[in-house]
Amino acid sequence: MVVQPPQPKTIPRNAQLTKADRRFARWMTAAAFFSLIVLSLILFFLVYQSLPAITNQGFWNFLTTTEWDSKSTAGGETVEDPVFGVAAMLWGTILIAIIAILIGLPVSLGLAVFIVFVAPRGVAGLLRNIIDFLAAIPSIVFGLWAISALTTKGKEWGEWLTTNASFIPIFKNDLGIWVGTPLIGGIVLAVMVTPIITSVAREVLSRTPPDLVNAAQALGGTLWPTLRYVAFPFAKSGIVAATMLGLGRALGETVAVFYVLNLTYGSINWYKIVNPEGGSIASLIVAKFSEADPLEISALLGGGLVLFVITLVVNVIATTIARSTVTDK
Amino acid sequence: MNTQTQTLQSAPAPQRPWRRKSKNDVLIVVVASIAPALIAFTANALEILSGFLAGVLFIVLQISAGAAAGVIHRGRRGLSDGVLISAIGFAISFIAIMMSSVIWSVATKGFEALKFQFLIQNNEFITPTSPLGYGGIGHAILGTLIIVGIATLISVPIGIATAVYITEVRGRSRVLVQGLVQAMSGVPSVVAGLFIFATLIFTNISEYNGAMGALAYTILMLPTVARTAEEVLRLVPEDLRAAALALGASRARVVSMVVIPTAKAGLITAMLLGIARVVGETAPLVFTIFGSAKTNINPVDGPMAALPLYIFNGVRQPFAPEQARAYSAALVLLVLVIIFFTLARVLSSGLRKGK
Repeated sequence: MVVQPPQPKTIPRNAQLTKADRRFARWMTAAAFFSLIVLSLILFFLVYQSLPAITNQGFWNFLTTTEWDSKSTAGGETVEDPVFGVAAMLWGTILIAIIAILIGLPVSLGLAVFIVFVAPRGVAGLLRNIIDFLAAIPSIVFGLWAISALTTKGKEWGEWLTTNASFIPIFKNDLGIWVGTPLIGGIVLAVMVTPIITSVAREVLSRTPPDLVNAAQALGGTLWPTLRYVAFPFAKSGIVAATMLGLGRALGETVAVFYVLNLTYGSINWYKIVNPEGGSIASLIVAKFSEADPLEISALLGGGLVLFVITLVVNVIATTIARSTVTDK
Repeated sequence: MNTQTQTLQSAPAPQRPWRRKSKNDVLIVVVASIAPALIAFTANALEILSGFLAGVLFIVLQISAGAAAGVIHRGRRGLSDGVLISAIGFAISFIAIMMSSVIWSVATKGFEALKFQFLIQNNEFITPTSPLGYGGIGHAILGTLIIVGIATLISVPIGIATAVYITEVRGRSRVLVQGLVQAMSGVPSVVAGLFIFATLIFTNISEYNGAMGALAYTILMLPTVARTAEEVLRLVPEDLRAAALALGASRARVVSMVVIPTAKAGLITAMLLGIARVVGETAPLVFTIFGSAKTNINPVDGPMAALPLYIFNGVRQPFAPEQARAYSAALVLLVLVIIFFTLARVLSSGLRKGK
């Protein structure tokens, strides 16, 4: 986002529009509402196509069942009714996103503070470019990194946490395996969302009015007091919005975590982050898609619908908070 | 008298930040940044502590050293600053280590299969165990370029028109449109792919083909283009618009002959950033283009290959040659992203300097 220079003389919106002007405006309006059309179509078609599965399972069951079994190929004929529920995957998605934010947010804030308040100008510019580039690295590259490099390390970390810190319930491990844990998935997502949160947080922090910062420093404020009493209060809602954006990205991420998550059905892994049980809705969809019958595909589309609604809500909250900052000024 | 002295004492001492740093100050900073690492490393090297405990010791020592340096420097108020600077140091090292590891792991593994033939051949007669001297990702590179090209052709005009609506037409619902674009940028890539699948493929309107992948990419690309274009159009001086209107130009002419030419470089940047955003997206392609080992350059006829999908499928194979090919393809993809990103940056910095 570029800071807008003050523009005192804006041309009135309706100053003498000709017929051609109105036609032009209509075309641009039509294009502008393309995004509305797409969003409504996404909602409509996901609901429409997932209805067969959701009516088959019942809406509430679909959200609260942890089983996912199409059961259609047992002995060549259907012996039992298929069971589809997204509860385990839904919580898995939220769990790894929470880990990602818990790791990513402090790191991002540290980076943003460094770029805006500490680093010399040249270093800050370089770091800004690097961070923006890191935000553009494709998620599949993170996926490859996760299986080739992070899994080995994450296994060691998880094992260490269980041996030395299993008195804290979240570090318990039931299976003696530390590959495919939510912690590893969370770390991948943390590394992915850090550049995204950093670049928004940096933008917001750099908009702190210089007068306020100078005044704080003139009063003897060193770095921490300046941040604590001037910059953070000013940037608070912007930082919350940045976090929500990162959260939205973490919730919807697919291929970066697909290889490192161990999808388990039947029970929910509520908090054991170094136990190899968990999953995410997006990974479920990719994992089951290629071998699914029409009813299961419909159920997978239902999973996509749940994911879409969650990320939409998170993003709308982020936008609302971000906008309230702008109007506060 | 006594009380007055106390008030004076509680006032902050003059800092004189402009004075030269004494040798002692520099020494304190150097010791505080080196000593903890040295102690932890020695403890580990002498096998007094395991790697993890040495790491924990290092973190504790470094934060206390930061705090101590702060206190020596600035008195009690330096405490929080010292801790903060140490913590920021950890944050930077964390992300630096992670990110170099990301790029390093792809770069080292990616060179194995990377030969000239790998860039131009296709995979038609290649099995996962074929030696690395045969086959390549030419078909996938072509597929990616075609799919991204179509997505660009659709999303750039619509994205720029959206930006024009917000900044030039300044329609009544521009706040709503901004919010919608923002909401659309949050659509997960897997949902974009599922949507195209649910709308066009599951309903048998279309088969799996490249155009479907392009449509899914469009959904992801449009918000990036629209938002960047909006920022760029805001940089066009209002005087130019006023001058053109005063010369009798219609609104459409002002936009097409004044505003857009002025912002040309910025709009190209918007396009390039949009391309960099989607070129590596995998999830939308899983449900739309199906993937292919043959070269297919017709986006509306049958399955197509693309780099991200090639990597995604290749790395799941348990055979070393196929995995090596996948890593090389990832390296090629990373280079493509770097090219688009650098082009965008160079163009936009040129734009700023031009002002």
